Amino acid sequence: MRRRSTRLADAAARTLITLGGLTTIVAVLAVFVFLFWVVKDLFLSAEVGEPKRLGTGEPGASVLVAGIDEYRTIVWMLGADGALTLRVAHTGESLGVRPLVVDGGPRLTAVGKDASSGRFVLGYADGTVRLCSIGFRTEFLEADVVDAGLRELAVDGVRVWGDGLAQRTVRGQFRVQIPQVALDEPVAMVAGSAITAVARSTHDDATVVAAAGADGRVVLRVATKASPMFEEEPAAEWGEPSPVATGSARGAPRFAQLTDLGSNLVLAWTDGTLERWAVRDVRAPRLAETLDVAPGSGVELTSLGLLLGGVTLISGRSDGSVGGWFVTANPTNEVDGYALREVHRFDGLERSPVVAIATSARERIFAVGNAAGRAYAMYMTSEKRLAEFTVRDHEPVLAIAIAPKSDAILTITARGASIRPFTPRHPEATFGSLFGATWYERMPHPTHTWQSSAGTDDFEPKLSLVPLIFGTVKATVYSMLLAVPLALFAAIYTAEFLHARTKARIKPIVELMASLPSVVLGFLAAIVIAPAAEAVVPELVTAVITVPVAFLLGAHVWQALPNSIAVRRAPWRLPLAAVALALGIGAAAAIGPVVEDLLFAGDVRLWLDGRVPAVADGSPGWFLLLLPPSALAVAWFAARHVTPRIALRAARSTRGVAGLLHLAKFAGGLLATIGLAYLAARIVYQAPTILDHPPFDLRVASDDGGMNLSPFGTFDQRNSLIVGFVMGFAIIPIIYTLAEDALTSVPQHLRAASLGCGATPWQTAVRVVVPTAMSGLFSACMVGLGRAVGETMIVLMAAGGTAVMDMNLFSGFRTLSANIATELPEAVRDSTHYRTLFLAALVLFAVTFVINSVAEAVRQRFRKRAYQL
Amino acid sequence: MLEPNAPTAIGKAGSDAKPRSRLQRIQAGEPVETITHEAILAEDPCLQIERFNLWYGPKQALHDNAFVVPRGKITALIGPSGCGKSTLLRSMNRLNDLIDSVRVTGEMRLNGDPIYAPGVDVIELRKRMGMVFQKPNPFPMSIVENVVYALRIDGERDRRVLREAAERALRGAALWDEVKDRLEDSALGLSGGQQQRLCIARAIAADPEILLMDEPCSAPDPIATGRIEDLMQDLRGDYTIVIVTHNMQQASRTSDCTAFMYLGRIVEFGPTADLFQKPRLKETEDYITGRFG
Repeated sequence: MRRRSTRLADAAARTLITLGGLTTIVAVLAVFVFLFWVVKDLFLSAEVGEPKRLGTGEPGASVLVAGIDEYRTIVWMLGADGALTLRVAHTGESLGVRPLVVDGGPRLTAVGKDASSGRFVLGYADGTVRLCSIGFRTEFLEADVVDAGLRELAVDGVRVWGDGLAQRTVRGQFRVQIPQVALDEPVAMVAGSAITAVARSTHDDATVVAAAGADGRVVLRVATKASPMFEEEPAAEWGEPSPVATGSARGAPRFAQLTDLGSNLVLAWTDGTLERWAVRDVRAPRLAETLDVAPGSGVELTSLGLLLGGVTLISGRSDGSVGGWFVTANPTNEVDGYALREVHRFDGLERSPVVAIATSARERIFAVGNAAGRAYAMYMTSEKRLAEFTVRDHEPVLAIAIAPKSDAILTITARGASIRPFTPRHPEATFGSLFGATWYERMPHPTHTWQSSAGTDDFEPKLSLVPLIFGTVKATVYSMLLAVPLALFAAIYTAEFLHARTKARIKPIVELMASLPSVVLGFLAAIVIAPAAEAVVPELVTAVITVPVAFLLGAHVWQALPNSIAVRRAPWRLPLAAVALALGIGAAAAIGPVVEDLLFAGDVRLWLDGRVPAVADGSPGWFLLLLPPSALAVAWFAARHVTPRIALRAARSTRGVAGLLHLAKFAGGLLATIGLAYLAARIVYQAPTILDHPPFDLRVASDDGGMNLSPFGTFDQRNSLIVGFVMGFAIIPIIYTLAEDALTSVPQHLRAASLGCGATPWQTAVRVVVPTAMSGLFSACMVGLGRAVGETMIVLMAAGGTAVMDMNLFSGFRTLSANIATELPEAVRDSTHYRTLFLAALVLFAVTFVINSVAEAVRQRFRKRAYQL
Repeated sequence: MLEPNAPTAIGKAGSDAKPRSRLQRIQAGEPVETITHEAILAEDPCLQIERFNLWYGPKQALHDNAFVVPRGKITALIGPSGCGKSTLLRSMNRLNDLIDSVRVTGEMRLNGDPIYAPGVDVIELRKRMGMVFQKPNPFPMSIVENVVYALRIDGERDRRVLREAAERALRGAALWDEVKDRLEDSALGLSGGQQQRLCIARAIAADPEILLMDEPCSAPDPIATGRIEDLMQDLRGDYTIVIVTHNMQQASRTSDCTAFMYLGRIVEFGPTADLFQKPRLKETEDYITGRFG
């Protein structure tokens, strides 16, 4: 009969333990759910809402371009008659008409738009152009000027107020949007000929304008001051017109665009002919290429737009298809080394001429409308179709516009305008762009790139997580490559060979290493170790070989000692091992420069870069890479064929003689290893030359945009070697402690049995203890792996942070964790960037989860094998 | 069982014995000569021990032992718990070396070769001895790999040689018929008694000069115990066996010679029949008749 207090304690313990366990599970699940909750929005599709119409009949069939203000309250339409009509979006009520032509002056014949600023250039029938901007000024009304009519407005309700439109905001303020239309003085371009196409490109203080006349003339002119945003600013000062010698045989170009910061002038005709002129030097335009952007019989080019950023052209064709074009490097073009190509293609749209194109001022969203009244909104980079809808009565779309915040789409038909609310969500993040190769602007091929921000607002976000995952793998591989062997060997040595008293001292010291904050390690790595290592690269490379050789040599010398000395001096083995280490490092320092001379033509960093003829020979890389397998092959051969013979001889001689024989075997093996590695390196390096390919040089980065698995390449100060070393230092204590515990927990009676059979302690360790402790050793490595994958501060500080995809040991990388740490503080809440970083966290979470699950599964298998010990 | 150095045990033993009995002198730490029957001295010695002392740190565990193991015979070491039987056995193949604080003096010779001389290669020495432990301790590997372990570590790679050695050892340990169809299965899947016979097979696979058994039949299963005892009878003659046991029936059933140990000293050593039928010392008689210990 248990006592009441015991029962109470039992119940309390049970409750507490259950509660604790459940809380842990719930906490982990909650983290997962939270991450998932933030990330899921990335994959929601865009939405377009019900249309709101603004009257009928007006403005008729003549609208050239239209737009809407930031708050979606005012719609403007510029007609061919030169009248800018402003209307209240909610009611259709007119806010007045502003003429953009002089009374009795030339007609408006063409409109061009700058892709980055959204400002316009207007072309007239007399061959002149005028810079123009259409915008809105926002003012908030003071409480004392607000009258009763305004005060009665509901939230979001609007009312005409003076020149503008007042709206009650959610916060109860009254915001007035006042249209601001600026029109510069006319400038002659193609005097006497009506302008058929006009384009402008504004950057910094300079504006390039190109205009084509009905007589086929094309002229460029530069305005050296920005066009006025507001009326009171001074007018631009114009340079001399410079003619573009386009062949007049095709007649007047129908479309003109200035792309790539005004360095390319694109002229296009309705038959699909497109001429690209290199106009970086405005005074000497050169025809760079001519191509057909509407191939196929009877297919015509029906519209040409320019995406935000001014790089990607959008071609709309009479067969309903839409293409995205930009220039990529092409050495065969002798004029400027570029070629325009159709990188993105949007097929499967309705087969009707694309007559209107609109671009967003915020992201690479564009909208097209066709003659059958169908409109589509799409994202260029990811080729994702965001929304599509049909305008009323399938009227041809005359003009289309995307609201400044990309939250509405305006369509104009002959029967009026309608506004549809639009939620693009996160079109730049699709499964393909996050995890697949994506073709970004100006790139020669699709790439995996992470570049979440840039100096300008109109840059193209590149959100591929692949380089970050690759960086994480790279960091993990290199640090585990160092940490696992070191930690496991140290654990085996401590558990099996070290004197109990020494062990009691050494183990806490190693565990103390784990208590070093990783930020301190990262700081040391970046500020101290990286610069120091930079000076001794050849010595480091050499030490990788000399230190193990020194240890093995020391062991062989020890074996050659007479038995009486060896047995009596056994406690000196650990200090002697330290001596071997020092000798190995000393040897590396001594022969490092020699190795550099012999292998790397005297300068290892130059060799790593590999771009100078003096270091053209790439076979030393293979030599280094093939050394370890060669050593293994030689060791295997020696164990198979040499050791038994020596053992036969040794049985008939003293320990000393046997030791000398083994020493000779070791020296021979060392030479054989070097020879074998050298031969193999030459063969592998030269093999492709038989087929007249260039030699297999590990330093040459592949140029296909994929990953590059070669461990050699250009040297950076903050590189994987440093991170591998320092992160190895961080994870060694964990692996070491867990592995040592696992080895120590192997039952003593197994060791006794093995030793009783006449096994040496080393044989006992390798054949009995390690296999028995395998599950523990494996978990130790997996815990270390988990830490390496998630480690942040060291890689953040010492890895350089470049999101590249190569395994180059001498270059840096960017990991998922370091990326989150760097970018999350500056990511706009709920933006695509923000959610993508959460996705990175989710990926990290999943990777760790998978690693741990696999570790546990494997551990269970091992454990099953070793049960009932 | 009473602790030999517990006060009550001393009181009981003392009340029956004459004043200053041999056991009391041992308890007092005085040197006591081993009574060795002449029949033993006539045997061909496989292992000889002279003036052997062993300390665990400051504590002396073996006192001035003199002992011979007759070749081809089964020699049993009996005595109360903690009397040093296992320590003596483990001293024979220097397994006590693994304990840091152990220090020894005196001499041991295996077929004339010194065991404790400086410069002795312990590994080579252990290869000449087989050892079976109290708890079955097969390695976590296959049955056949367990058996050929000693050959493997000696560098034997020839599959045929290994296979033959395994079969011979398993037949020798009377295990062949039970495991011949599952030689590649894990040894840990065998029953306790089978595991112990596997350990015996492992110990005899390398043809040891002497087989050391440390309470090999302590498993509670009487059938398994019987089989191992039968096995020892089979091995008699081919192998020299030293067995530590605290089961006196077992010692009398299975062994040719028996040594009675008490507090680190060999008190009496003689042919098993003599020692159990007509012990020369009253103390031995008291122990084997269960009056103390």
